[in-house]
Amino acid sequence: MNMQLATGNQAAGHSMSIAGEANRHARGSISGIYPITPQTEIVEYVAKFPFSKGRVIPVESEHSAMGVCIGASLNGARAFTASSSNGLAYMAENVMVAAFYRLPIVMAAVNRTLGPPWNIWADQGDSLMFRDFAWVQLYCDSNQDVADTTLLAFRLAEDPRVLLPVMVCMDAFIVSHTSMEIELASQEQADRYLPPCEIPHHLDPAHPVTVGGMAFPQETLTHRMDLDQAIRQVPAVLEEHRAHFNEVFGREVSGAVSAYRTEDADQIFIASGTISLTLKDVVDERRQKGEKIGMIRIKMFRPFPTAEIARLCRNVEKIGVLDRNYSAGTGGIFWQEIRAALQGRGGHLVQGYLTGVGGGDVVPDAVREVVADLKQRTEAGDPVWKGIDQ
Amino acid sequence: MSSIAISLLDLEADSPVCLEADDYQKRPGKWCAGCGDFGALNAVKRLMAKEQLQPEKTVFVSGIGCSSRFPHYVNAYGFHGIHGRALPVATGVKLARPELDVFVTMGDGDCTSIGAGHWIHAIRYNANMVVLLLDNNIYGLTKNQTSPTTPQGYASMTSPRGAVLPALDPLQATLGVSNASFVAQTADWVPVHMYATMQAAYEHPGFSFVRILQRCPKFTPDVFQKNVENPDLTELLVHENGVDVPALEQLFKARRVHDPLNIDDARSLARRSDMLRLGVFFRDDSLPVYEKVRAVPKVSAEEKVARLNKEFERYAV
Repeated sequence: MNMQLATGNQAAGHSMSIAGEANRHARGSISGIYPITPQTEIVEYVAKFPFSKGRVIPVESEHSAMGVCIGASLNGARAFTASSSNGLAYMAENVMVAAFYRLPIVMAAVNRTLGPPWNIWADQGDSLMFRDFAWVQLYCDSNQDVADTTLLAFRLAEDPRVLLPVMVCMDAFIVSHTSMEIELASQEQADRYLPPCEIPHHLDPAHPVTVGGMAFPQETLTHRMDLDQAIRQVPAVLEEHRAHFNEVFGREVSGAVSAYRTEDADQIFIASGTISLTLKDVVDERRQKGEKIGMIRIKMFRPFPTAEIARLCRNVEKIGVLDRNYSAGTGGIFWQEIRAALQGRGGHLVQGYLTGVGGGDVVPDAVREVVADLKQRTEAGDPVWKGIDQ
Repeated sequence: MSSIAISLLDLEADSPVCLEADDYQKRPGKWCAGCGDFGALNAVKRLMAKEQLQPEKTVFVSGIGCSSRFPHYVNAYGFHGIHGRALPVATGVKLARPELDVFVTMGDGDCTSIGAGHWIHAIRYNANMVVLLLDNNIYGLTKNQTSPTTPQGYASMTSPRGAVLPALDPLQATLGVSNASFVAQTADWVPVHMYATMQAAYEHPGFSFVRILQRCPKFTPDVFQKNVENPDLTELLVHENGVDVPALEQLFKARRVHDPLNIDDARSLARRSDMLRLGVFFRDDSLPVYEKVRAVPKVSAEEKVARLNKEFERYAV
């Protein structure tokens, strides 16, 4: 085992780089890069990597970084980049293009609060603005999860049944800048895990085509239905590639949804990212006191694991959702999705909690407050803001 | 060494002063020790004191980067904007309130990289504002990544084997844009020149683009060092319609009389790399200014009634 100290950024940079290098016997790799706190170390790692058939292009903006990836991917190269916060916002136009052209680009998104006001701390509002862009989104909870999920992301994105870009998300600083002892994959392992990148619709001089033409409503409708069909393949395809990951690396990479002590629970709490780790500790603590509570960590936000959430929650009365993000006028974005997933399935009480919006630390005490609040509730109310000085 | 000596050659304020330079400092600047931004801030404060600019009638707009912290430190209205987008915001401010004094501070990342598209069009709009490009040849706030003005071959965290391309020259780029009206270059280590250049920029009725060569002691400590140590490598462009600081005559032997109205000479001088050139490369006060071109003429009540009556006559039966 190759255990070493690495930050989340280094984990993402390493896995993206060896994934790019693994395509050296095919059409190589391209990465368009532009710095933004707190992901800059990812693109710096990629910039330093000695690719044998890869080019790293320090471009003039995030918009161009994704543009470079689109052009490279259209030509069959394995393409990847990273960004964060307002960088993602500026990139948005091309983020959509990447998915709508069905290009298997992988992007690390370090979740940072969108400005203004300028703030560099963790908040998922940046990547969640792409929830309708047909990207697969995976929210990691730890450095090891980032390292492994990034490799899994390439396998998933390039699967011919999927052919969609994948965003690997992590909490700013809590994951991106904190070192943990993790196992980084070797090049040999990456070579075994990742077959050559094959993009069936890559540009072929023998059969010249123009990409991006005008489409009438009927053609566009067909395009959107194709996208929908492809993204609906993801849960099953993800499971296949997780199993293969286990074979190559000898460890498990977390799946779309992880349930913990939910079997006999009458209350379930749901979170994503690093909050789920704190939540897990609080669940253990409450279990010791005899409270029947459990938790679910949602890793895959798109496609949303509706069926799995409904199955895990079928017997619980009350559900508390902890969101490190919010949509103005409604509430937490995961909360909304969960309510939609459970709609018409037994009248659960689903209460939303806004925890760590704007980057505040979600400490065990804050989670305990959420648990206590749900316990005394007899009906769901407006989302509860946590972390505001009263 | 020389920079300390020059900074003491202060220009006398020639009008009764109500506000002193330090009155324009809102809070202490937070940049790295030795950062050229401090000098630029001092020059701006002195200019504001000289012109007795009223804080409530002065606006500083910035983007993102080290230099974009400027509005936090100046006692005036400030807008710490989005990366690369300072110029469209400033244009909006000027169009809405043409009577305000507008300053824009950008770094090489803001201006020549992520905001380059706005740069070209803002030059063409030629709205009346002072635009300071604090060019340290590197992305400093994100800690040492190649910018478009990073010298070729200079290693950084994103170009560990050295910048691949020749640096983008902001002067040549600006001088190439239609309706460019004021283009100057100065350096943070010649504060008296920087101040005089800002003064000329302020006086120019249009988009005054000033590139300030700015030392970054952390990431590009050596790019300007030869010029800092040896004044003979710098040529001053002097002219009565540009900048001419008599106090610098002894230090800078190389002086060239350059008429800022001569665009061909300006472009030719900007293209030459034999010496570093400081001064006003181009200035034409006669070019159309956007807020004036787009101004809605005032119409008297009588004229409005006359126009209405004329319009009604079209429908008379």
